[in-house]
Amino acid sequence: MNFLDPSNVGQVPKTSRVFDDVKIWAEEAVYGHRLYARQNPWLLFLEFLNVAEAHHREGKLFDKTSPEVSVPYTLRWRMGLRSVLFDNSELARLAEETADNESLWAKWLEGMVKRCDAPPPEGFDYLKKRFPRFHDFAELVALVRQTSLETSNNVRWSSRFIFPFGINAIYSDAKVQDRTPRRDYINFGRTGELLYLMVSRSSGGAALKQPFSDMFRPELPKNKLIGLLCAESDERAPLEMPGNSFLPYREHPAFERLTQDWKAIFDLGLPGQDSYTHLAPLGGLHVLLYALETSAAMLGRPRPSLVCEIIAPRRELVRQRSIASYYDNDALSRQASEAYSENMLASDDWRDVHDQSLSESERYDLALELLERDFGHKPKDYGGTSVDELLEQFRQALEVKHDDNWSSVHSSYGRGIGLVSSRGTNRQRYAPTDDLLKTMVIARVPSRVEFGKFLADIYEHYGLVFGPVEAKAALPPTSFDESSFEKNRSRLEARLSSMGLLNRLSDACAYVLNPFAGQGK
Amino acid sequence: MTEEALTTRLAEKSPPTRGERWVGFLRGYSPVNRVEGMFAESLPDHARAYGFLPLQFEHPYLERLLKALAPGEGRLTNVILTGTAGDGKTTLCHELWERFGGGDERATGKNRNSYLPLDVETPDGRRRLHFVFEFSGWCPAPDQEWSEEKLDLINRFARSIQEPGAEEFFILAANDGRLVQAFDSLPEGTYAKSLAPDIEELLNNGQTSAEGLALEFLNLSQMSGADTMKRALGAVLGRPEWACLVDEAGDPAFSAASPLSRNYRALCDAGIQERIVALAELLDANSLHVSIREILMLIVNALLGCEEAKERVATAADLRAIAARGGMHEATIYNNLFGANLSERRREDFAVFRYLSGFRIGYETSNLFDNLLVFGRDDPNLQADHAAYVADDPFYGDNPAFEKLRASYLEAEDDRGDEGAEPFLKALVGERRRLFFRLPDVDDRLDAWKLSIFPSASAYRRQVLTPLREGRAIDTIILQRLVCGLNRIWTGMLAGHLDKLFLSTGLDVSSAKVSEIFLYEIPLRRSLHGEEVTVVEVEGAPVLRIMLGRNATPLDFPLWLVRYEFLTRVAQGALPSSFSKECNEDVLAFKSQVLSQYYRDAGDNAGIISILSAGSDGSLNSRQLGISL
Repeated sequence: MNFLDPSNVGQVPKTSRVFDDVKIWAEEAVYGHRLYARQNPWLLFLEFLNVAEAHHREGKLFDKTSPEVSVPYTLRWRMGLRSVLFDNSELARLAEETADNESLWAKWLEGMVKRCDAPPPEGFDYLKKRFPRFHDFAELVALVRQTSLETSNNVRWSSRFIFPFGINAIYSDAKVQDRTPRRDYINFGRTGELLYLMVSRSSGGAALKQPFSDMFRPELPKNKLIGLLCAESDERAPLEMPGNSFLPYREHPAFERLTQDWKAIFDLGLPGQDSYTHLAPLGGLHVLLYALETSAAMLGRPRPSLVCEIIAPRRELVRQRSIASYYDNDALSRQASEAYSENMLASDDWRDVHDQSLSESERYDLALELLERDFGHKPKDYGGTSVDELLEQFRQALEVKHDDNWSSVHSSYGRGIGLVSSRGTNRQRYAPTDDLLKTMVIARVPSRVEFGKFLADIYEHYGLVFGPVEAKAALPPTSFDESSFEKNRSRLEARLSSMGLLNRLSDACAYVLNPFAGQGK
Repeated sequence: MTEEALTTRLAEKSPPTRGERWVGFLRGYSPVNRVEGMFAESLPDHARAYGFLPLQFEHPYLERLLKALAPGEGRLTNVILTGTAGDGKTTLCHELWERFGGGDERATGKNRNSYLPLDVETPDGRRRLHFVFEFSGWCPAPDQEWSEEKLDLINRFARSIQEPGAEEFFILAANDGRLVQAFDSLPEGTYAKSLAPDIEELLNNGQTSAEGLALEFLNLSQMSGADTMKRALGAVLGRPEWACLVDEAGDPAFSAASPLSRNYRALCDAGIQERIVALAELLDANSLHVSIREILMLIVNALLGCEEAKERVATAADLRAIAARGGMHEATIYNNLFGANLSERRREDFAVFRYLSGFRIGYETSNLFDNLLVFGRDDPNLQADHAAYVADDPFYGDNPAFEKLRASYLEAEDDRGDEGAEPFLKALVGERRRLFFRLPDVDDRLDAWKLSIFPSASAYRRQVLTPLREGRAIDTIILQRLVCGLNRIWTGMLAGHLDKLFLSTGLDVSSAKVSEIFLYEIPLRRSLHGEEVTVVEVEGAPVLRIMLGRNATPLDFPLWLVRYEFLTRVAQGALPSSFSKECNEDVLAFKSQVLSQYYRDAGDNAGIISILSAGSDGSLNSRQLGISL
């Protein structure tokens, strides 16, 4: 089934509050509400974990969802933990002092009462009971702080996150006003919620229930460790989320691929939460591919391919192809959202708006009405008087809105996961980093697979093109050059080999290896 | 021949001399050959055309094959010969075919069938041997279907391997990539398909046989390149045709002024040969395989390479022209061995040049070496070394062109731009290469390998490869150095030379840059429980082995030269990511494997948290936090 088949595409009830935050409902109808360009892969994954943990708490983890029904949930602030970790600048200094244990605790507690922005209601006395020695406390805080996700440098303390060791380390983004945390969309822009919905709609979602539940087990040692820093009130989940983020498709091949990859990573049984370092970039990758594939389908084009350069010492043909492939794909979302809105404007309901036999003012009023009905669009300044002017303004507004967020989803996610780079040129192209290559090997190679088959598989699964066979299939004959792609293939082979991910047997035969295969518990 | 006679002969277009034919013949093996890429089928024609025997030596695997296959003694089995193109798979088949009574029609190229059967007599009666000389030519092209006839043959092949008491056997020369593909392309349900997993396993684990299979599986890519190099040098240099350097010495092409005679004599030099073989040995040690064909190509290019010649590989006429203008330094063996005579694009076509360029010989240097080359002649402290290793080169002695560049470079001191320096710097690359081949093995101060990217190569050969080959343990100091590198990379802390390997993890992920949660320590000397870190030999190659217990599966990290160099440099203070990011990844991947086994055996024992920290003396200490969960 084509995922654009009307039976597969859901609509939000017109009464939904979700329309309140959207100026023009266009991209939202195509991709969902919303893909947020300024959300990097870790923030995306963290938001996802927040949503997943909330549903897990209610015993509804990955229950099937549908586009029409919102699934509310509640999130935690964990102000105790966060204040101790990030709103606690005195701690390091105090830890250096030679005073006795009691007076260190006293000084610190006193300081926290004075300075802390949004302390938990019970204050911080609980810490003194848990840590007989002040220095152990200080040391643990320093240790946990080191796991701060890189995303959260140079930002306000209430938007800093630690590695998600377990439920005790999972909390929502916040802005603090009047000593109270409030919801903010700066870091959690709903894409994590969409990622959750994708999993819940995939046939592979059920199989992810157990591994994620295992990650949410309260008795995990590192979770207990973080628990030592949490206040009792941190357990409360007062932030009520309406869960009205919208994902149009009941099924989508991208959802299936995402859950396949995640399951494959879990199946390796990596120690602790090591799997997260692969789940996060794969999540970002599949969101990016979901957007590309959906755009192309809207435009009636085949699923996009992504020509990747393994960075060559010199400028080569593959680099040009990769740049071209990148910019072609980069333009897809704009074309798709235009196609969506133009289709709508040309639909039967809009016929009267273009009917010259009606009076201008009738047509104008009708157009206003339809803009609101079909796009949720209520222009503030009716600058023009003619229908043409109105529609022109609408198109401009759509363009501005697209520029503001949607046009950068592809580049921003691509860079965030290490798929897109401008190294060595002033233009963007697909040139995956070692980390991303490694993640793909780990996700796609159960134990070992012949190199040619690996290339065929990552073309089939992700649309990534490295070697001549795939390039020939993906590119028009005029853009294809066997020897350049052959060299690109060799460079990939050499890269994987030097990372210990490939066993080269001869000039004609190599196997890609998953170093973690068969080591799980 | 006098010069006059030569002129006359050239003018009369008389038939080429033996020396001229010899050069023409050798060029057939060089990078400019037009002989269909030197295939076993076409070389005989080429050799015949020049009236010489092909360049040949006993194939390193022949002896092994003759042990497995001796019809007269009733020993027969199936053989798959696989490997890189140019490793002599087909030549080996020809050799067996002829030894077992087949005619020479296949080897001489008269019969080009990829498949021929041969009946042999054994004490148990007549048996049939099926030879597939060129599996790639025999099996259907990737887009074509298998014919009934071929399916039948490949099924019989699989039966002979898998079922006891076979009366027919198969000898198959196959490119391994093609072999894997062919078995994949067999229609579902074909009997022979059951063999595919065995073949994949044999290819990957490097074994030559498997339980329950009547099969000798030889991957020629595993041949020792050093051994092949020795054989090939002997085969080329020992040829009687070199008499032309004496008999035709009157012809400038073969005179003492000819680069060919200089290069030939240099290549006969034991010191230079030793260094070439050492390079081959280190390619083996980096798990880089060079085919026999490319090794022969390398040797011929070393002799005849010449950047100034029209085709960059000299003809007799080119040799004459070079000798006449005294330009032998344009064609030295030292540069030719790295393919410097070829265009960059052409050089890239050959694995051997790609691999050798990885040593960066000519580009890596130190002040000492460059001072020796540039100022050595005039510096009283360096004069003796200069005389011994540079000026006294019996093959190339002083290079007047370099001398000139050197002089003008030194004079120009202030106002030389980059352009002025370029010819000098290029010539300096050649001089460094010359020095690399000229320096003796004994001098630690002037260690030739310090002119490469692997300055620890001589220690690696002396203190790792040699002891292991002789069945001795490697020196504790070497082991400590390697473990120091591992400790630094794995913990992210400045550990010193310790007698323990530390396992630690980040609080978040096990690959964290700084891993300060202490898990375990493994002594270098075997503990009561069988834990230890050692360097052992596995299939002829050094492997760093970690044992987490007496009955634990060994955790092996093949100690390739590049890994040895990396760990050594980190131990000596280099930052892990400055030498190579990939190496760093590679070593961290090994850590993940070790930790996986540790967690599997010990469980996620985080009830007690111990923090690892480095002391100022390089010690690593763990301290338990006063927290219990």
